[in-house]
Amino acid sequence: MFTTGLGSVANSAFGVSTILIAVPTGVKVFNWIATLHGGSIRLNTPLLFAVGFIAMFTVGGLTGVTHSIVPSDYQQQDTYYVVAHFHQVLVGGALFGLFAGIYYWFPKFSGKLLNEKLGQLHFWLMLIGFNVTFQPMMILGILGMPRRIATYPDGMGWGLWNMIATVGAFAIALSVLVFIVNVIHSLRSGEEAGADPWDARTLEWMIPSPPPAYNFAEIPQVRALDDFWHRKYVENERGEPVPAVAGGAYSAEEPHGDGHGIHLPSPSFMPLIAAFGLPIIGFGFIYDFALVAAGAAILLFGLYAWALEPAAE
Amino acid sequence: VTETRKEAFMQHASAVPQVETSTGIDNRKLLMWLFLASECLFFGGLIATYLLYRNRSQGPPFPTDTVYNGVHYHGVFDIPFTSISAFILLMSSVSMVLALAAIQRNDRRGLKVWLLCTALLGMTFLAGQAFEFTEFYRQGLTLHSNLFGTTFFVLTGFHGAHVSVGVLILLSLFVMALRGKFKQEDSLNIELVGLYWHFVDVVWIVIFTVVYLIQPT
Repeated sequence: MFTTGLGSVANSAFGVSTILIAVPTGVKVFNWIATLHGGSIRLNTPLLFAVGFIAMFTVGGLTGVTHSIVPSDYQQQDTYYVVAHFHQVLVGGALFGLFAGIYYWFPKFSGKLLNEKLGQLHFWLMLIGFNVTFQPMMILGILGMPRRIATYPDGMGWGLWNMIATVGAFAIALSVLVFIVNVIHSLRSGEEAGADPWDARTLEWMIPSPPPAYNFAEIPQVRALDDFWHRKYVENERGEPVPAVAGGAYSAEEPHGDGHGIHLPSPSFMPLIAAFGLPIIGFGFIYDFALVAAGAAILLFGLYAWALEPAAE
Repeated sequence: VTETRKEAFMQHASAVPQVETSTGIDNRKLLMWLFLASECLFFGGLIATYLLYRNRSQGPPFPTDTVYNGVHYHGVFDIPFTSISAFILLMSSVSMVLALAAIQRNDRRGLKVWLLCTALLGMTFLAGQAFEFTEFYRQGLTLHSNLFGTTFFVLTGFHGAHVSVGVLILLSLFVMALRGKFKQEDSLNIELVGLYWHFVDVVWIVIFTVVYLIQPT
């Protein structure tokens, strides 16, 4: 941004706004840490990935703050420092969080727990591999290696760090392989998860794993924050949670109101056919307008056939 | 049972006509407003792009009479013609209102007449746009010719696509009305399509004003 030549006023404005990004992000980081504070923590794979996410995302955020210093950013512009920064944010901020979510909810949607040992191996390989890949890129960027190059002359002094990054990349690939093995193994012969393997607080853990197609037979009545927890635990006189007798602080028996029956759409191939028309329209705009007409015809056929399809009752 | 899914939906929809919502507005109507809000952003982007690149074309054709590099070029715009097609689209909003008013007083015949009328007016507008695009193309204006061509065709083309979708929906409603699918209490279905149709109309008023009428000096 600063090197586009907008002038010092614009550069100052962008510098300030780049610093300002750090404020809400910092608040979020403290939110996440405070969520863990005082809890009885089980350091299993989902939490490892969640904590890894906080740590790596913080590093990524800190390297982002350095971009707000305009003269320093002139140096970092279009170098591997930028590549390292945004991968630290992307992988640290998104991928670790995604894996935390997958390890947490896999039992819900498959009915099987992922293997804990393989999961921890996956985490440590990924954390180490990730840092070994992207930290050298920070150094490479400061050494002046530009991004978006396929090769570079020998003797630039970048060889060693690039070699280390390559080794790290293979470690990441290996960790993903461990994950794939874990998924296949767990789906075939994993431990049965049951409805609520984590002693969780949120409503999705009330229903069987994997959930029935209609999810909840009746919409649950929520009477407290973390309602499912309050169905399982009550507080004793010292404020400690103790397992509730006979299904919770209030009866698990839902009052049977006149809830509507659950309407589920019948399975249909027509949305697939409608979607198939869209890329053909896209290709048509690039190559031949006749394809646009063909794609539009497929799309419209799919939509109308879907709407007029007889219900499977 | 040969009941179609649409009928099942309609029956379900009319079985629970007034669900209490925290917004005080029917869920289906709220969804339509949200959709139209996102459409505002969509057209806002395209209109902003047109304005940003206005007067920056390197070479003809130009929208209005222009002297470029000492050569005088005739503009491609035909304001009287486009004014007439804009008027036709405006009138289609009137007939849309009449269609909704008809079903609300349970006038089934009026519903059919005004739905068809709205669709026909929309198609007339589209025919005018097809003529205009062809005419511009003959004068050398294409998606690739210059910045004016790119921004003009993308903006008005997307609007035309929206009108086309609207005409399809109106014709679908017309066929459903012919088969007697709409009762007085189903008027929300007509109202939602009306919201979309009026939105498309309002967008054209903005486009017509910004692109055709307000010319940079």
